[in-house]
Amino acid sequence: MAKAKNDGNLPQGSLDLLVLKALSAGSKHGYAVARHIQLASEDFLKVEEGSLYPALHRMERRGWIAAEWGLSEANRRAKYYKLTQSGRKQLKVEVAAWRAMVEAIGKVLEPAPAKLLPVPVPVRGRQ
Amino acid sequence: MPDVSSFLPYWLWPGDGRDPADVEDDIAAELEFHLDMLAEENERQGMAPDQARQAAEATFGDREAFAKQCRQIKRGDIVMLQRFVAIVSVVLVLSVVGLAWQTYQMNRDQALTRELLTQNQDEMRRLATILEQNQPAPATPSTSDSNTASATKSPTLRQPSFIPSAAAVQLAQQRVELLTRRLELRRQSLATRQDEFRALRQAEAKSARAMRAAVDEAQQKVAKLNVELAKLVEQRKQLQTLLASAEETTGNEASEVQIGEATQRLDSVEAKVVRLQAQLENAERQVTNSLSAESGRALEWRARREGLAEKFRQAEEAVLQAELDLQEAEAEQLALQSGKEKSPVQRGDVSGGIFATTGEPIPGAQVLAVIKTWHGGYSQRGYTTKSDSKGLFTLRNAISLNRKYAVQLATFADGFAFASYYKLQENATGQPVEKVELFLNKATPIQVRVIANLKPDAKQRFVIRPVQRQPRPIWGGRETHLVYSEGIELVEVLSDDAGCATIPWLAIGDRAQISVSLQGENRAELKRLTVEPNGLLKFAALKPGDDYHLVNRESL
Repeated sequence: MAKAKNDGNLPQGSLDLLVLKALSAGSKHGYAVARHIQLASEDFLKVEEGSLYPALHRMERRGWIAAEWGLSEANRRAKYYKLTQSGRKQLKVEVAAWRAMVEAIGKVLEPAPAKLLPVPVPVRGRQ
Repeated sequence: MPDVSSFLPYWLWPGDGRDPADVEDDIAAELEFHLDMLAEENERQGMAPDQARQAAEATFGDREAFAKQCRQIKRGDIVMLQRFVAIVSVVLVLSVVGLAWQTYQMNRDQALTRELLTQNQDEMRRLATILEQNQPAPATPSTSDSNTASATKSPTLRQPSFIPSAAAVQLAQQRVELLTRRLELRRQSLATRQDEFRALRQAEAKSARAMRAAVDEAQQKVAKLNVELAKLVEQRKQLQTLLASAEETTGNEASEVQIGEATQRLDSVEAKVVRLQAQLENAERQVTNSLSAESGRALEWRARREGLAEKFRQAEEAVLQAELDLQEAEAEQLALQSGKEKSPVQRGDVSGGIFATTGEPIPGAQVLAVIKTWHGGYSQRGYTTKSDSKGLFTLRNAISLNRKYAVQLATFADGFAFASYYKLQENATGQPVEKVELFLNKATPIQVRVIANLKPDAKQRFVIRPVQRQPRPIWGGRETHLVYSEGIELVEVLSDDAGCATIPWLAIGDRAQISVSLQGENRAELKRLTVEPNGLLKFAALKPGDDYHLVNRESL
């Protein structure tokens, strides 16, 4: 089966959702978030990686994630982000909104067959 | 931290209080870490270090732009924020200054009013005392002696000396300024009403033309159908005659064929007649409908015109009232400034009579007057009235006698040529205006036709208005009568569709000027003419660019 063509862009408004989802499994630095999205989507979704950081900082301002400096696997100083309580709620909201959107688009692409009205059965009368 | 970012733009977000250099370092370190990790991964995949770094930078995107965005999110946009704060500060300062100035003005006005009221009360109390005692007011209260005052038995009442305060003069001046502004506004309103009225007249004329065109079209259709029907009826008659004669000679084959053909044709003609009669009925119904729509629409327009005319008259009244109030206030100001008593504003009537040259009064003559009053510049107002059964008319309080004024007046009466009167009073005398007496010549109705030079056969209606006439002199030079139009009452003659009209306000021997315009249009052409002894008009030569010319109807 041929794979759908990927132009490398994320769907509009989906970056926050993907970042929140990536962080729901545990705290990560920006690089790890980018790799998580890439691996989980089997290389389908490609983020311009620098654009993650304004999103991470914005979400931090909104209180959805919290940041602290720590040491990476290679023993280097890295900034780790983790979900806050507010972020978890936001993730639920974003997931629900995304699913509703996908469902609606699906309905447009594959409309349900029209409901058939019951056919009246003729009653046989007495001869 | 509260979620302010959802309702504020980022440049209005409060900063997190951190040192900007620290924020800068954090962002740089974070982005650098990401780039390093990318480069290392590239190297692991076999790239040379330089190549790995370049590929990492390409994957990362515009580092500076992302760093700037992060900075703005962290700290807000300081420059925008500063500008915003500056603008808000300026607006606040201006508002405070404005409010303070307004409060100052109000306090000052209140203080002035209080002062004036106190002065007036003092003055009134003093006058009341004088009146009660029925004795002359002391010239100066400080030197007055009650014994001396009671001993004086003067029957006359001296006017108290009135020394106005600066505040009173200032208040009077302010009042004059306000009333001047009110007068200007009311004049503007009057001008607007006049424009509205003219626009309505134009729209009315346009609508009337359209309705008339519909009626004409329907009537033409009826006429055409009548002609066709008459032809068919004639044809039917001929066929019936032919058939009758063929039937008389029955027996041979040829006549049988002739009868058959004639019967067929007669049937066909009969069918056409029936069809045409039905069409004619429809067309006639259409004429009736168009006529009733035309008259209904005319009534609607008339109602709208009258409504607007009423508003115009109200606006005129408002202007007049504003003029009177201003004059009163100016007189008061003058009195305060000169320390003299206020001279009452004097207004006078314009009155007179309209008579035939034989001396008999002409009742019902239309009088159009324009009164100009000078207040530095001048203002003017139109009046209309009709003469009574004795030929007399009066325009009440039309003149302000304390000012320079001019009376321009024209009169029209059925069967008489129009005449006019003009008087300019340079110096305000306060004296009543002299009586106006106008003696009118018998008019000769003049039949003319207006023809559009470019569309001589087009059905168009024209409006003819009087401008000037110079009657044939009995001796000496010709006097000139002019028509002044101001306001909405106009004297005009409307031609029929063929441009034919009767001019009722000229006399034999007159040299005259009239204006001609297409109904509903503002552009008018001035035409010079002379009324010959035989009642025909002699017209001045056409000027280049003239769209219309006039001819005598008898000469057609």
